Amino acid sequence: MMKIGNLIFYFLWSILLLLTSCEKEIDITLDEGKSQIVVDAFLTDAPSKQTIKLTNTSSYFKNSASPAVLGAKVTVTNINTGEIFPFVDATNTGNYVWLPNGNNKLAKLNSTYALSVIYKGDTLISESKLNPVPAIDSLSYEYKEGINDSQTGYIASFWATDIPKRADFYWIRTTRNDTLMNEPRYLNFAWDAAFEGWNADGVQFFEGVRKAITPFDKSFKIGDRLKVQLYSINEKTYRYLFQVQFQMTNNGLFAQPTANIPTNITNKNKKSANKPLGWFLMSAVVEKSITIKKK
Amino acid sequence: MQNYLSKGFLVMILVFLGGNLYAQEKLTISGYVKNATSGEEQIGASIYVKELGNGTTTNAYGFFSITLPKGTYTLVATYVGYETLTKSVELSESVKLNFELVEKSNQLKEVIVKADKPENNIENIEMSVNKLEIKTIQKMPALLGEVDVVKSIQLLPGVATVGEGASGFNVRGGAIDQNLVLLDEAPVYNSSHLFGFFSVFNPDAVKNISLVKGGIPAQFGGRLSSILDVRMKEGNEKEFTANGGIGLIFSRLSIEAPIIKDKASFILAGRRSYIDVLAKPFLKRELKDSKLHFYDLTAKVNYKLNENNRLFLSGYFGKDAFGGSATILGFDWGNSTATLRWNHIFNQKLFFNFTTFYSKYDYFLQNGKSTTDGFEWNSSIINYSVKPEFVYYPNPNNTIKFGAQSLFYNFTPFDAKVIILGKSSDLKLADKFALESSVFIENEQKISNSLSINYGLRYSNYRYLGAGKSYHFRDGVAGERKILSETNTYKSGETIEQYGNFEPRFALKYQINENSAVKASYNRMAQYIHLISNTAASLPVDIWTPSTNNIKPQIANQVALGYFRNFGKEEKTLETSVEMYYKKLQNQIDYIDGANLFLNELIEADLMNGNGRAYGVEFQVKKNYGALTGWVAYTIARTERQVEGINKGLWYPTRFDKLHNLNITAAYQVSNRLSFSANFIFNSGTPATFPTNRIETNGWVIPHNSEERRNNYRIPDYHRLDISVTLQQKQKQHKKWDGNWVFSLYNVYNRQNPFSVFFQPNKDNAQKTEAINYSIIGSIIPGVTYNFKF
Repeated sequence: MMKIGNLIFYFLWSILLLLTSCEKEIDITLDEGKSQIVVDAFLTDAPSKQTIKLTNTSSYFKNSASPAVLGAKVTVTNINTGEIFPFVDATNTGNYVWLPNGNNKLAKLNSTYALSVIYKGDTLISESKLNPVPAIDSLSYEYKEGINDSQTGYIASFWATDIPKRADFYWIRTTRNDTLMNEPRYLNFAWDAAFEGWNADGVQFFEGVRKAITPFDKSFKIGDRLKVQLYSINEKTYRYLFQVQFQMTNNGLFAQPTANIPTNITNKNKKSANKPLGWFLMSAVVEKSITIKKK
Repeated sequence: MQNYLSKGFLVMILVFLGGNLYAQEKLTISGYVKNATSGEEQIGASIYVKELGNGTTTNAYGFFSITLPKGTYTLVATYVGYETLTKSVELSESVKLNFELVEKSNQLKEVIVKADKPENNIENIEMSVNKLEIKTIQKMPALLGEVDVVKSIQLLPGVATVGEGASGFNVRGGAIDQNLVLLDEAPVYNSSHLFGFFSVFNPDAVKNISLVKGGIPAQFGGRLSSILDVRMKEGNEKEFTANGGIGLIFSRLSIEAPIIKDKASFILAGRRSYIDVLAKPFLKRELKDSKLHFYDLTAKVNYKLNENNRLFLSGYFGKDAFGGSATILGFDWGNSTATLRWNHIFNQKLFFNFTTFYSKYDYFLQNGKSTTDGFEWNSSIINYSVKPEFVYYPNPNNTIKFGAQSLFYNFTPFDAKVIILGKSSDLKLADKFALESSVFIENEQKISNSLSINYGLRYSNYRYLGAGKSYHFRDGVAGERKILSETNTYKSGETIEQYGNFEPRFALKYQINENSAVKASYNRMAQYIHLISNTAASLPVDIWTPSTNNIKPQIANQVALGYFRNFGKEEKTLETSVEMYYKKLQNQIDYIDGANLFLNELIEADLMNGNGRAYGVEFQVKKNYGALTGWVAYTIARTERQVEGINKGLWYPTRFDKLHNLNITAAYQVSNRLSFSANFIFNSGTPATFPTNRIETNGWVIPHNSEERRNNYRIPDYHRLDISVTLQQKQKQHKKWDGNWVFSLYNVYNRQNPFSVFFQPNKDNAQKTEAINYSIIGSIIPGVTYNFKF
């Protein structure tokens, strides 16, 4: 719900403050806090390389990649079948990888997976259930005049129907000409076919979700290649993405207090001073591609 | 309990009235103080009895009463900016006596800050009260040259705001919902136009404004931090007059005239903005048909039935509307209020007023097409109230006020409709109901010439009523969403939860000598309704919510101590004051991280309860007379919160904590036709949460604070200078037309004051992170307005 609200405010605000508001970079000296381990584990059921990345937090203005965590033992276990998938850092870069053997998948629908990271005497754990995802029926696009040139062009939509009679959560990601539109302001996620509290169960995706595969400030042009991926997520991840978006975009008057992004990784030893950060998610994923052509 | 209390109350009234019977040899002089040209009653004018060395002031309706032994007396009526009027009375029977004061004509002598008499701030028991006359406000430089009530209040000591564009104001460390904003006694639930750039009060229709920050009398209740009492003009009862102005943002016009001369009159005032018209050339393509305007209408009629009865009917209606047809977007909000009052004089010593009002605030938000995909929702708060009040003047040393109030609330948190591919579904959260009732009694007593006290008690009772549900939650981890364990359903009119609070009030003044006084006060306040707002600035979409079984009433205890000293006499008077306050707040609402405040039936699961404290010292030097007028106000203050689950449960400064707050406002009258004015504002930067570390996940560089601190840094300081020039048109002989030009510059030295500082990855290199200073107003803003009167 808030997402839509934000877009509206963004729009209103941009008219209102057409000539007066401004942003400028300033110098600030920040304290550096204690370094914490970060588990970056967004995995899918795609039959392809799956990576869990381990890093340590570094000071905010370090301006280079965070230091890698090496020498950890990383596994993902299917709790329902007992099957264990080891993730190995063969390149010593902190990227722990599992490679499919032939066409096998890491994940099975409706199975629950347990993550385990053993590092320097701490065992970091998390769980995630692989939820189903509906097929994308089609992609379409239409020409639209926007506020400026960048916003004038083709607005694309994806067509799919939410799985009925259950609470589903989705994350829709767009790749444009081989570049994933990963900026937090483009985050597109849904609770059933719309947003929290909308009772949009079992219907086609709402326009605000359907069309949000098009970056709101950068419409598609002729010749653009577009890939849409629909990931199944869960309620906690929905809220997590919400927070990521809120905390990483300037909302001006509408900004909420700055707060830390939640984590679903815990230290098995509750008394340990090492508090892990990061997120573990198992997603089923489907995709569809299209090239924008003159109609 | 309540029954018991009301009986006690009745007994108290009877005792006071009974006392009256034995004072028969004394006689009463009562009447009104008015403006001789317009017939407007003057609030807070003084009536001084020379022979007694004592006096009284007029009440909110311009009425006074003074009881004296038989004899000959000289009564002196004074009101700032008006010629003093003296009347001699041979008192052999009770008399009615009205004073009609003539405005001082010499512009150079025009007073800009209201003080009843030069010594009034010393003699008066009131402390922590700022009164502004509309004339004062009109002289301050304003954004785009538009005079604004709420913006001018923000220049007073102890008053702050979170930044430009923010709605409302913060008084002595209180949240914006802790101000009771009254327009002719009806509460206004959102006092802003155009987010927070302008306020809803049309200056042409306002008579006077008083802001009570501390020592709040028992007469007022329902909010913790302040009372902003805005009183509308009654309308000229002698002749037709019109006021107006043409500005860059909006134009205004007000007319007032007698309906029946000296018996009934009215005022009608309206404003409309035309930003959308002006912005049109800049709005292209999709924004072409954008709607962006606001308007308001203020009206009042008063009718004197006879000497002892008078009726007032006043109303306000305003709306802000935004939207664009191409994007099918609509957003509007507005207040409406209606107040009916009946003044009745039972006898010369007993003044009665009965007020009944209606107040509504609502907003509507719509996006998309109702035939294909879209949503629309509205939300509102509606309020009905009755409020009888008495003022009893037994003798010159006591003024007793007592009364009661009953307020009924109807909250509509969300009434929404969602349309997905032509199929619509209604999403409505159930309305909520509440009844807030209170009784009060207070006495202002002069113990000696130097010592006065005001003591009072208010009892408030609150009921959260059905039809509705109560939600019960399991004990959980502080700072996380609570888990529902039980829901109970209640029938219409059933009490779901109730609360009661005794609210004692006390104020004392000790006058050391003619020029100095010490004042002290204590007040306890209870607040039963809360504004749910978790954004940097309060927004029109914020919803009001009642206290429930989970949301406890907010309570505040405040003590204040002040020293008041005047230097110089008459025209040269310099008023100075120092006030210290300490305020303790309970049951302050806060929110879990990622709280969902919209369309959420279980919103109470996302709310937390905390404590607050605010303390500070306010200094003010004010010059009311002469060519140079204005004030310097400096406040040094702290305002903090402590909530389990935030900042590791430790105290942290709130968003509106400003250690230093300096406001200088000055006007200089060069000649009868030319005047200059300026404001200078300096505020310490507001607190903000800055990260210590970065988390890298999913290609994002996310800011992280490893200490889980809240508001651990401060954004850069805020300072600004505004200036304006007023040029009076040459007055033509015998012509009524009176016009002036106001040219203004806002933010003269073009400072890009921060509203917030946020952190983001560089657009070209996501590994590189940067801190961004975000300014809402990042340039000089010129303004010009033409004001007229005829």
